[in-house]
Formats: sequence, C-alpha cells, structure tokens
Amino acid sequence: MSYEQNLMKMKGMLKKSTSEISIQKETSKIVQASSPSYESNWLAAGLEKETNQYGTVYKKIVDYDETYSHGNYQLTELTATLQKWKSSGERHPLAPDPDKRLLFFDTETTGLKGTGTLIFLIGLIEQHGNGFRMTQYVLPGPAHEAAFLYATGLWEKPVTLVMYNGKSFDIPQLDTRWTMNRNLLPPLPKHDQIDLLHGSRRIWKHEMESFKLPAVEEEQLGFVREDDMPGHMAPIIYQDAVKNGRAEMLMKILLHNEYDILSLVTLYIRSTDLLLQDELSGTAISQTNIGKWYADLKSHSRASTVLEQVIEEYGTQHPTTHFHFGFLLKREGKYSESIDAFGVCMTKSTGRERIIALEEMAKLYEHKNKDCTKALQLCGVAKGLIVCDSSLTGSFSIRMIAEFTKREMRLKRKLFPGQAQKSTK
Amino acid sequence: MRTNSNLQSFIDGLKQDPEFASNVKHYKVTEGKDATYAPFPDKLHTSLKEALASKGIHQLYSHQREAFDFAQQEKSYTAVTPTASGKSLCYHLPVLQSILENEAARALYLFPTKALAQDQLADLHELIEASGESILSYTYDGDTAPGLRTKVRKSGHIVLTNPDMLHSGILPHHTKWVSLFENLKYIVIDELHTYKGVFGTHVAHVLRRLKRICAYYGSNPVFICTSATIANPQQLAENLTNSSMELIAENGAPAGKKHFLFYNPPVVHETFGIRRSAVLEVRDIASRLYREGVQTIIFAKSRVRVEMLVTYMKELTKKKLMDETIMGYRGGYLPSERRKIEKGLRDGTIKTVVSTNALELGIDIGQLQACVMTGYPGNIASALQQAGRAGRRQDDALIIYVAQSMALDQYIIEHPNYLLGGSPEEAHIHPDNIVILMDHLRCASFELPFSMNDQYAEFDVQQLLEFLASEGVLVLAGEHWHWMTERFPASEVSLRSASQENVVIIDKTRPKETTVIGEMDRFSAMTLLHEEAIYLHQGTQFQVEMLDWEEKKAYVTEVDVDYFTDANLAVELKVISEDKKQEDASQIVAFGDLAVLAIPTIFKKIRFDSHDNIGSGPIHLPAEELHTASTWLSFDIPEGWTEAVLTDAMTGAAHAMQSFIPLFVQCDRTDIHVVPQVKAVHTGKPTFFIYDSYPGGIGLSEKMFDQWNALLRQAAAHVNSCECEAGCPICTGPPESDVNLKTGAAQLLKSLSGGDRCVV
Repeated sequence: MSYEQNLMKMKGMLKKSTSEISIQKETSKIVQASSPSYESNWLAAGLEKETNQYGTVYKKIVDYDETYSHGNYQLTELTATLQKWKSSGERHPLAPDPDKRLLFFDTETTGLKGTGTLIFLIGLIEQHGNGFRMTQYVLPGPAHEAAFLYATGLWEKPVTLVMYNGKSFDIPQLDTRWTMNRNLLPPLPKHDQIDLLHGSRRIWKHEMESFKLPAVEEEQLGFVREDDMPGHMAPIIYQDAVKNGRAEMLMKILLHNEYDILSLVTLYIRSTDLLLQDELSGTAISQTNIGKWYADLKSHSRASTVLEQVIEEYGTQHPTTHFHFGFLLKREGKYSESIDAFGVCMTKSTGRERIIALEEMAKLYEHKNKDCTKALQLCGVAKGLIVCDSSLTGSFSIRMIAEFTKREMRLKRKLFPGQAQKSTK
Repeated sequence: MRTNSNLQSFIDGLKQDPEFASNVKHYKVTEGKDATYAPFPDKLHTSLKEALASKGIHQLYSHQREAFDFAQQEKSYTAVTPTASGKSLCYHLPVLQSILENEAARALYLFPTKALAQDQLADLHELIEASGESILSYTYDGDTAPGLRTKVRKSGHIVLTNPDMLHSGILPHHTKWVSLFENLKYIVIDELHTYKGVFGTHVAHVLRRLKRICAYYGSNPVFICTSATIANPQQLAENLTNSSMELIAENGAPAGKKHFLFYNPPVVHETFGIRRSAVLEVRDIASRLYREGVQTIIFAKSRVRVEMLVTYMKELTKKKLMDETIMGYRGGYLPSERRKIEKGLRDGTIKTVVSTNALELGIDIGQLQACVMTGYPGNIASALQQAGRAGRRQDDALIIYVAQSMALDQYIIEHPNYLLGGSPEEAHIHPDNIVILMDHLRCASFELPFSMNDQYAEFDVQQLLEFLASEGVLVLAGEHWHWMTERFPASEVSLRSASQENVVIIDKTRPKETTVIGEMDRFSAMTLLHEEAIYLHQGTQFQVEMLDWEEKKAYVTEVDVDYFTDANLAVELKVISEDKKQEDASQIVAFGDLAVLAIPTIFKKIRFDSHDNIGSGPIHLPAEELHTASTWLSFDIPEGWTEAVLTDAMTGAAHAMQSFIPLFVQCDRTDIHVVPQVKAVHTGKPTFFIYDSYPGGIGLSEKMFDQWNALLRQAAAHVNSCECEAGCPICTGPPESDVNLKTGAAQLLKSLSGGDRCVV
C-alpha cells in the first residue's frame, strides 16, 4: 500500500502543460551515446570493446579446437551431420540449406514480450577453421541498441539460424528490436530457422516429460551443467549490471548462454543421428515418433523403413508403432497387412488408440474386405470398450459412440436389406 | 412479428384491467418524427453509392452527410446518435472513402466490448460486399485465431477491436503493427457515452498512448465518435481523446411513437411503506407480454436480478422440452453463448430476453416491440438507451417502467418529466487521477522510452518519471528513460475495475469435465463468490464450494435450492489528508484523501419470493484497502440527542443521501459511497463521509464538496414527503426492528440543511 500512499503525495507534483505538445518521432539521426561509466568494470570482467558508427558494444570471443567435447559429442561431428543431410536429400524442417552460413543462435532478454523488452545478449557459434568460434555480443546499456544489433552482422545476408524455441521467442524479439531501430539500421533479411525445440518435441514425445534444455542435455547429450545461473534470473542480473555497473554476475549469464549454444550444436548432431541413421539406435518410442514425423511430412518410404525397423526389433511390444504403420499400409493399398497392424493395437493398445484402431479395422472390413459381419462385430467391441474405459474424455466417447452407432446402422442395412431398423433416438 | 395494431390492443387491454391501471401512475406518449435527408456528397465513391443503392438507400440522413463533410475537412467530430439512427454510416462512409482513395490507408474501430465489435463487423462486411471492392476488415481480440493475427496486423484496412485489446494486445506490441500505425487515417470510437468514470478515465489514457505511438510513426489520425444522448458529448469526447472536436447534435433519423407506462408496485406493508417487489411485478408483466407473443426485452440492474428473473420466467416454459424462447443475457456469459442469443433475438426465436445493461449498447438484435425496466438504471442516458431498444425505426413501441422501492425510483415515478423532458446528465472522466495516470505512464514508458524533454499528452511527467526510476522501473540512459524490469505493465492494469485480476468461475459438477463458465472482478467476487454463495448462471444455481483467493479461482457445483445469498461489507475509514475546508458556526465541510478498509463480514441466505432471511454465515477473506478521494461533513451533536438516537438518524439520513447523489453527478450507485460515523476518528464529531469507490478518486466526491447543502435539502424533502410511518426502503432504508428511523433522520436532515425549502 505504500506505493499508493506515495502516489497520493505525488498528486501535487502533477503538472499540466498548456504549451504546444511535444511528441517524439522516430528518429533517423544517429546520436552516438558515450560509453557507460561502468565500462572499466565490464572490461575487467573479460569483455572486449567494439565500436561502430552507432556507438559501443561489448563482446566475448571463445575459440574451441577440433578436439573439444561437450557432453557425449565432439563439436566437430557437425561436419558429418551436415554431410548426412546433404546426401539424404530430405526436405525436412531440420535440414539446412547447404549454400547458407550455419549459425547456432541464442539470446537473453530483459523480459518476455513487448516493445519494452530488450535483447541484451546475442550468442552465436559457427564452424571456424578446424574448430568452432563463439561470439557473444553484450548490450552496454539501452542507449547502445543500434550499435549492438549492427555488430552481430545479422543484417548482411540471409543465413540459417539454429535455435531452441527461437521461432516463437528469439526471432520475434529480434524483429521487434530491429523495427524499433529501423530508421538507423539496414533492414534485417529473412533468415532460415531451424528450431530444435520443435524437433525434440517430435522425437521424444511420450519419452521425456520436460523439454527444458538442461533436461534434454542430461537425458540425450550426456551433459550436466555446473555452476549454471538459471535463465529466468537473466533479466534481474542485467538490470543490476546496468544500474550498478557490476559485471561478475553478468559473466555468469554469458556462461549460461554459452552452455545453451554449445548444446545446440550437439543436440543438432544427436537429432540428426536419430533421424538419418541406417540402423536402429533410439528407443521404440522415439523411433516410432520419428516414423510418424516422416509420415506427416509425406516422406512415406522413409517412414515405412523406420517403422519396419522398430517392429523387427521390438515385435508387438510397442503397439503404437503398429498403429502408425497400419495407416501407412492402408495408404499403400496393403489392406490385409493394415488390418493385421491395427489388430495388434486391438489386443495390445489402450485408450484412444485402441478405439481408433478398431474404427480403422471396421472401415477396412466394410469397404475393402466387404466383410460386413466382421465390421459389425468390431463396432460392438469398440462400443463396449468405450463405455467401460474411464480414461477416455467425455467428448471423445460421445463422438465415437455416435460414429460407431451410425456405422452399425449402415452395416445392418447392408446385411439385412429391407428390414426395419431401430432408430437411434 | 406482430403489427402495431396488436401492440395498441395490448396497451388498451392493460388500461382496461382495473388492477393494473390503478398501479400505472402516468401514461405518456412521445410522438415520432419525420426524417431529414441530405443528398449523397458528390465526392462519394461510385462503388459506395452503388452499395448504398443496393440496400435501398438513395440519400443520407442529414447527420450522416454532416459527418462525411467534416471528415473531408480532416476534422475530428462527435455525432449524437440515438438507437437505430443509422449511426454506423457516420463512420463507415468516410473510412471506406479514404481507403478507396488510397489503398494504404488504415482505420481503427474501437467498441466498448468484444461482442459489439464482432457484431459491427457483420454490418461492415455487408456494406463492403455490396460495394464490390476488396477492402479487408477484421476483428482483433482474444478470440482472433493465432493464424489470422499476422494477416490482420499487416493487411487489415479496418481493424475492429476494444480498448482492453488495444491496451494490452496492440500498443505494447506496436512494432508488429507498423503498417497500421504509419497509415492510420481514422480512429472510430463508437458508444462514446460508455467511456465515463473509471473505465472512461482508463480509456482516455489508452487513447493518449495510442496518439503517442501514431505520432512516433508519423500519422495524425482523425477521431470519429458516436454517442447516445448525454448532456456533454463534445466535452467528453475532447477530454477522452485530448483533441478538439466538432459536434453533430441534430439527428436526421425518423423515430416511432413511444408509449411510456410508469408503473408503481402496490404498497403491501402500510406501516413500513414497503411495495411489492419490482422483480415480481416485472415477472407478471413480462409473462403477460410473453403470452401475447410480444417480443420483449427486460432490463434488470444486476446480474443476480437477471438470473432471478430468468429463473422465474422459465417457469412459463418448463413443461416444454428444449424451449429457448426465454433467455438471459449479461456479462460473464461466454462469447458463443452470447452470439447464439443475439441471433435468436434477430430471427425471432427468442421471445423474451432478460438483460443487464449489456444490451443497452448497439448490439444488433433487430426490432423488439416492448421494453420493461426493472427500476431506474441510475441515469437518464441509460434509461433512454434502454427505452430505445423497443420499436426501432417507425414502429410503435411500449416501454414499461416498473419502479423499485428505492428513493430515486420513486422520484422518477413522481416526476416522469424528469425522465422524458429533462436534459440528460453529464458524463465525466478524470484523467488527472494519479493512480490511473501512473499505471498508464508505466505502460507508455514500456511502449516507447520518454526523452528528458517529452511530455505525456497534456501532462508534464518528468518528475513522475524520476519517481519511477527511483522505484527501479526505469533507468535514465542517453537522455531517455528506458524500461528496465522484466514486468509487462499492461497485464498489471485492468481497464474495467479497481481490482486487477478477475476471478475465474469453474464448474466442477462433473469432475471429469470441469469447465470455465464465467469470470468476475475481484471486488464483486468478495460479495458474490465467497464460499457457500449461490451463484446464478443462465438461471441455473451454483453453490461456491471453494474460493481460491490466491489463485483467483472459484469452484462451483450445480445445486437446486430455493434461496439466494447476499453479503455484507464492513468498512473502516481513515483521513490521510485534508485539502479543502469550509467552516461555519455549526458545520465543517472538507475534501481530501481517505483510506478505506473493506472487510466482507457475513452473508445471509434469502428465500425466493418471500425474501425471508433463512440463515447466515461468516465470510473469511482478506480485507481490501482503498485509498481514495472523499468529502465529509461534520457537525456537533444536536442538543439532547443520545448517541443511539443519533446513530439511527444518521443511518437513515445517509441512506437517503446516497440515493440522490446520481442526480448531481452521473455515476452508478456503486461508484460512490456515503458512510455515517457518530464519532469519526479524524473530526471527533458526528460525520458523514462521501467517497469514490476507485483508488485515487475519479472526481465524484470532489464535485459533491460544493453541493452538500443541495444534497441535504433534496434528501430532507424526500424523507418528509415519503408515505411511510417509521422509515422504509424508499427513504431511510428499512428499519431493523421497531426503531423509528424516519423522525430522527428527517429532523437531522432538516437542521443540517438549514431550513424547509426543497430544491425540486
């Protein structure tokens, strides 16, 4: 309540002006802000200074040689990864354009959204000589934003950015900051975006609970963070660094950002290995997810290959694989194989998957095998299951009961033409 | 749909019913008027002329033409437009004209609610389609599909939205709207009169922020406002937009004949002067209209009343399965529910709708034949809007005003010309309110840093920015005040109410399928969603099982009981500062800042129909503290009065005064409070406090500071002339036991106002 009391005191300070109202306009005039008073602190903490026509920016450059490992992977395995993509010929969301520079990219910001949120740290890592080079650009203060954005070189030409949740977070933020400075800076080209969060969710759905980067690192990359500052502390630490000039904690945010982008490199290697491997190496769940992903991308032959591998290895242990395989077989016109695949789900699956599999079987028996008696029997089985399976949501149950009832009526008409039918109501 | 003659015979039937007729205190007829036309402007684009012609329009009403001409001169204007006077052409025509002249031009339409924007979009689409031109118009609100948003932002010529969305969804993300802000030619503010009080003050700031962003991107849009009849449309518009305005006061649209019945429920308790419940009377009258097939809208003042009436009315149809000819309509229903009801009204499948003031606004529900008002809505403008819902265009309409026992309602029954002939009230906003101003100054700082030379609209804010910097919200760097916290200020500021978060109402009757059925602001939730409260939604009763105050969630389950609940609030007052003071021999009147501590105490269970109190229980919720503006009057204890006598007299007098404040300043009864204290801490004497319900005050009690005497005289005259014996809900409020509230209150008011003379 003290805030409100303070405000009441301030009522006296509120002045109204009758003079011509001054409203600021977008400026295209470059005003070089002078270096902040705390510059010496920041340099002492290990940052380098760079100046350009817009002002000052600080940066940190780290080189990694060809033997450098991060968790289970060496960074240089990326070369093989890129080669795999090239020779696969897949048009996949994770496939890079071989003609563009590949940058692993991550930002830290002062908030979550809106024009009042600043990006204060942009970290980039790319292949450099035989090894890798990371560059982190740090915003000296809010008055130096144009200099900071310009220094990243992201305006030069379109590149491919590999990110974690970048599509919905980093890129919109970058667009916003660029727009706020659009009269000063050259325009920002449209960069290709590879979002490894989306990829991870597709690959490890049902296998991992959390898709926070540290969780993915521990489970998939063999990397455990030490002395890591959690990302949500970043805004407070940056504010402190600007308000008080202290840089020690800021350097911890730089370390956090470094972990993030190093993991981007190895996560990209790991994801590609799973996606483009010749032999089975993931779990039944992740491999099935990958097969499903290829199927959704209309890459049907690769989808079949992946799912067949899983079935060969695990048999009927993992019915979901048969579920997706059933749809692929149906698409290829292999109806009886498809029925067999869904048949596995009828006995082994649970919940929603089992019901949908039964529906598919009923469809196939009715329309392809012309076995209406069998189809009718399956409808009955399905309805019985829906009624006693309490794990199903209400709306799904209601919809499916209606579907099966409709199908039953049609089947009965086919089986017993001319006979009066019981109405649904 | 029935014809005029049916309505006339229905009215004749009512008049011949002796019991009904004896309660009708006045029967007034306002005559219709003919239209005034003006030719299409020469400049008007051919496609627009054709579009209008295809709808059978070959000339404009005079006010529509005047609007077009002002727009051509790039002057901002406000048009006063009663219900169904073709107000939308006052803005559609100039806006569409500008887009047809320059494809890059953009317009932003603001409606007070999402529902109105969605309704107006249909109207606009129809006009655009008839023109055969490709002009893109979209609503942009919480319901807009994520996939469509980018398209709306980049290529929508006309964007229809509401102030809340502008405040938290558009302005803080202005970089995504560059093509709109660079080319913004018109800002349309529909239903201007709804922007008053706290909400209006917030919107005034949202518009100041909007203008700031426009200026940043180099545009200088023209404002077009349309308003219902109020006393000061031009002043309100200028204050709201901080721009000078032309006024279009003369309306060229025709109007039908209106039959007004002023109905006063019979007295059922002579001693206490208690009348039969207006709600029950309305139920009977509306049932009659329903049986005659007259499509009717019933207005009730609160959500609870709406739900009670729906419950009563649905008795008429309970034998019919799935019957939906009687519906409720109020805020808190989900959009899909509301759309369905609006459609039902337009196509006639709904015969009776019971509404709060949500339907005062221009939602297109077509032509209703009759309107029943459950009590006086608090101001003339609202009453006329409600009446305007019946008999659109040239048809006859029946309006039945059913008075409640309350003072203002009875005053209207006694003085029908106050409503029909009198001039409507003024609507005020108070952009100087420091709490609201600071809220929006933070939002504005977030959107665009202020420089050390910048003003914020008409305010010199450098000292306030310094204060924000000292609070750690801003940092001064390179001549600008930069936002420097991770907070998103717009989400901390709600335009609609004092409390900042709404309580979500969750139905857990079926544990597997919990659904959100509505929401409510925090302050109302204290008295309506406490545990064990009966919450009514579409006539269905729910009992609040658990109120999670931290998480702002109320869990309810469906019940079927024969009572509703009513909660009490206890308040403590502390004067913080005294800014103005006037003293004479016996009285001190002052104005200043006040801290109010509100604690919900108990609730009562009240039986339907009989309204008996059948039980009560405590409410356990934290106190809410409010710092606000207040005026107070203190006086010496009259000679020979005991404290007990004085307590009763002051309670009665306060009740009478509170009722009449809306005659002096336009506000809802809940915007302002009168609290009597026999021995106030600040003055040490008997004192009446009048305070604004909103933090920081919104200028209401400041206006009352100069009008104590007029208010006291009005209240004195009213209590004196009341027909009851010992105090009643109409004058002093109902006496608790056998106490005579009336004599003491009357004496006190008379002596404080210094005579017998009465103002009206």
